Amino acid sequence: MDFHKINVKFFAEKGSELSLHSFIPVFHRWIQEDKLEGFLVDVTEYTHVQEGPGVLIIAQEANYSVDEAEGKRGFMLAQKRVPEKKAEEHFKTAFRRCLQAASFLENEKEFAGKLKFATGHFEVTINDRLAAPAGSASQAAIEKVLKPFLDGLYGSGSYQLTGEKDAKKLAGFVVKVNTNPEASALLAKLK
Amino acid sequence: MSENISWKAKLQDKMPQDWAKEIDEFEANIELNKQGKMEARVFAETRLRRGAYGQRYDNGHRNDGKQIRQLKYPNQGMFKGPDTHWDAPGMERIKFPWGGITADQLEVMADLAEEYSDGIGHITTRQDFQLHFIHIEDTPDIMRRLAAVGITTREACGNSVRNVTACPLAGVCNTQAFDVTPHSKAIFQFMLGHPDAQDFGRKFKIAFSGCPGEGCGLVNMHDMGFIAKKVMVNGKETRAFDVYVGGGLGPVPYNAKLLFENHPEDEILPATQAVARVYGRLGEKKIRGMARIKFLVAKLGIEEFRKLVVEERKILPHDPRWTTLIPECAKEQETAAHKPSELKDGKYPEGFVKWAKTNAYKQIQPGYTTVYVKVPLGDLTSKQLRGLAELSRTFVKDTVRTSVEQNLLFRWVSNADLPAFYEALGKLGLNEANANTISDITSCPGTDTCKLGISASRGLARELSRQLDKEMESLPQEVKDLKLKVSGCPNSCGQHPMSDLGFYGVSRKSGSYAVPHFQMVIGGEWTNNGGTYGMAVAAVPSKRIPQAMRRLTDKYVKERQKDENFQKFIARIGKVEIKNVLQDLTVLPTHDAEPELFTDWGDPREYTIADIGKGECAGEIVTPAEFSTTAAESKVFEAQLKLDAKDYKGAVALSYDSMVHAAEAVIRNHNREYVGDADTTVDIFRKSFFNTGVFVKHVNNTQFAAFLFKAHDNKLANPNPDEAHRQVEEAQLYLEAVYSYMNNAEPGPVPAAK
Ligand code: HEM
Ligand code: SF4
Repeated sequence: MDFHKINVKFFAEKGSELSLHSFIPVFHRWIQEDKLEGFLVDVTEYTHVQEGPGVLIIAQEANYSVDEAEGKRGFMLAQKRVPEKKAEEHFKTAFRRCLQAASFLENEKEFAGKLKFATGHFEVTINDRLAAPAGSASQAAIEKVLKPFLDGLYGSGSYQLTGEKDAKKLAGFVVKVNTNPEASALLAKLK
Repeated sequence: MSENISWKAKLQDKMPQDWAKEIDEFEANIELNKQGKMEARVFAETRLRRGAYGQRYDNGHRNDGKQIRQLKYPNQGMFKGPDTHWDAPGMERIKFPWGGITADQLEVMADLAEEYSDGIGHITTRQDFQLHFIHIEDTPDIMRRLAAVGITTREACGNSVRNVTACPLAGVCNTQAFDVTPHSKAIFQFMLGHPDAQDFGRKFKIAFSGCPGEGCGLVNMHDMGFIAKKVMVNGKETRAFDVYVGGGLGPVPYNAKLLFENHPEDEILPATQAVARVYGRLGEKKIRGMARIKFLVAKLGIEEFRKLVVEERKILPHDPRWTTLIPECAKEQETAAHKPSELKDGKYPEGFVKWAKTNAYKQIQPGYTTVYVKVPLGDLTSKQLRGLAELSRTFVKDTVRTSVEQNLLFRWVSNADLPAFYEALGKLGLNEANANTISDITSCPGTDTCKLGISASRGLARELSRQLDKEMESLPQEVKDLKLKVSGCPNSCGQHPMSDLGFYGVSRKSGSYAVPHFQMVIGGEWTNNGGTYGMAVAAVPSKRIPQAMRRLTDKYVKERQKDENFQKFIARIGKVEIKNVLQDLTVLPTHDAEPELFTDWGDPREYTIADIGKGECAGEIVTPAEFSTTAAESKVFEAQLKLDAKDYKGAVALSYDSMVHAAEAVIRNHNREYVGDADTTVDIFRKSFFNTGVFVKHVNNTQFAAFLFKAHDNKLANPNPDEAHRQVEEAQLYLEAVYSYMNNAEPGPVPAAK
């Protein structure tokens, strides 16, 4: 099964109180600096919406956002169109992009010491109801590709998966890892 | 869960067959365009007619705040319209006739926003929804998923009859003459894809209002509008409409003119058809800026225009739907989910009383309330859309409507349910009070996503809302009641001319720098169906607009005479005095003295007007003949796909359709209004173009026309693979011959038959 429309959201450990507005200039700067891999198009914001998609960078390959869904701030990547490649590569790409951008954001001068995303607490969903309609069959199919990937990244037995049960929501899992590894260590594995 | 299933296969049985076919055709057009077999201009109009619009930055460059960057869209050299890159994010407009939306539809909108857009479904100023940042190749599946719940995006853009709007209170309103919902439904169904509405020079917008005095229908700004009334005919009360025509906004707003007074209910469909024919025939086609019907009505004068419509009506071939459609539509009457009830006294949830004051409307039906859900900037998240669908199932019965104020209305809430409903809305972050007050601001997309945006209309609306909401408690009632609307440029999509305080984006220069501004347009009227438009008083830098607004409202509160409303106040004190009040705010400092003035609301980039692109609002000029060749192209392309799938019957049927469309193109080349079935088309082609030698003269080969006759005269019921392959090739050759004919033929009427 080709799960390429992957959403990953690393939950914020610190910085949930920072104004959403403060991310807007940073995202514009990233476009000026070509900061992220891929091709960034524009910034858009929904600061007026409660528990919404927050502030986003619209990129060709993915949307990056400081997301507020379910009242939980996090750094999110929503993978869009990807060039044809192997299914197992898709998770790697999505995690690499998301972790890299989240860690850039933490290290921006405006947020130094004030913002932290948990590298060991995140949500992975498949943003494609054709490939992964809600239900146990999809959950099992996702788990089958996700687990080997997470085993490689975090070590097998080091995390717990909680599956999505709501039939209206995207299929996927919340993942809680026993530790919060350094982003750089994870990124080194995702190269 | 199977591996390669597609939305097309999955939803095949859920979509109306003709819609499914149209979407397949559109998908085939996408494929043709990718293969370079379709002119970008023709593809642009094809997608616009299906609601797929361009978006800001699709021309391949963007100001990043420091420099203009060339955008590296992946498929460089591939376009979805003139100067519109294939991979650039675009917008999909989804029509909701009369603003009605069901729980199932809300849920599909939620899924689509999440999977293809940025997680937001946006309510527009004409009761539609929009999704932004969409890839063109995702649009066919979006359309299929919508079609499966009864929504078509057909004619959401382009030079066609756009969404038919109606007051969202229709049926429950205290001031209505009668419920105009069935009438708006009927006109929508009647005009959708109507042959008389396919050759307009520009878009055509229709609105219904249940009464003359309120503003929910805004008939005055529409190409055509209907205001309901009851009249006495032979001592009997009957339903009628005052029919208006030729209103419109845009840079120069026009007031609609009364076309027919007391027009009988069962005459409104033919009246619309007659108006469409006159407009299609006489409306400007070449100069886009002059092509709306308002220019035709102004040029001819309403008397002459009326005369033409009356004459046209007389010669319309009878259509039984004129009288059957409205009663049919009236059969589907809304009902409530719960019995009527009274709100019980007692302890209400916090904020409830304040909310109910502005957001609850007492229906004409005792025991029921219509609730206004205030939707900031018209934006709803997927979660909210799903939550609202649930609420719609729990508290009402598919009676939710969008409004031109970009809100949602829940009708038929039983009064005793109100506190629970309020609390449930609160869980979705949607129980904000102050609907229909000064802080409930309407805004077009502006520089956020619109190619034509000059200033950040949404940024301004967001900021003003924030400031006003904070101090709402302390505002005098007369200020609370003002209407505020913002457009990002003079085109008026935010409908600012019909508000007390309206703003539209303009730019001014200070030294070598551009400064975002808003022109203030004040004293417009929302009531009386948008009865009078406001006047422009001063262009003020964006960042100083809150200050400018405050000065005017303060002056109004201090100086208004007893019971004087804002329009009267403005008219009394006059433009000069208002200009004086704002004068100092219009003086520009240097860049270094006040750098924040050189950026716009919500956008830290240094401001420039270099991002403005060419709008697609006007559509592309594609002649009816070109539409026919395009249809022929996609049919023969689909026939190819059938061959590949070894469906020989399908291939033969589609290749025949292709040839008929190509023949139709030949006829339309000489008579752009031609519409006819396959038999008629082939007959005219045979007698006027083949027998006369006209076709052969330009094509130099009799064989090509013979392919059409062969396919038409001997329809293959059970073709073998060879026969099917042959006919598909013949259709292709015939189409080439038609192109060749169209390139060489002299203009003029259809030749006399032989
Ligand atoms: C020259 C180009 C354009 C003109 C003259 C124009 C004019 C208008 C006017 C006058 C209205 C509002 C009133 C009415 O419906 O008559 C309108 C509606 C609207 N316009 Fe435009 N417009 C243009 C281009 C655009 C573009 C490029 C966008 C954004 C992508 C846009 C977005 C809207 C929206 C969202 C509405 C409400 C539409 C609906 O739901 O049907 N317009 N337009
Ligand atoms: S008013 Fe101007 S900026 Fe706003 S949507 Fe219309 S064309 Fe775009």
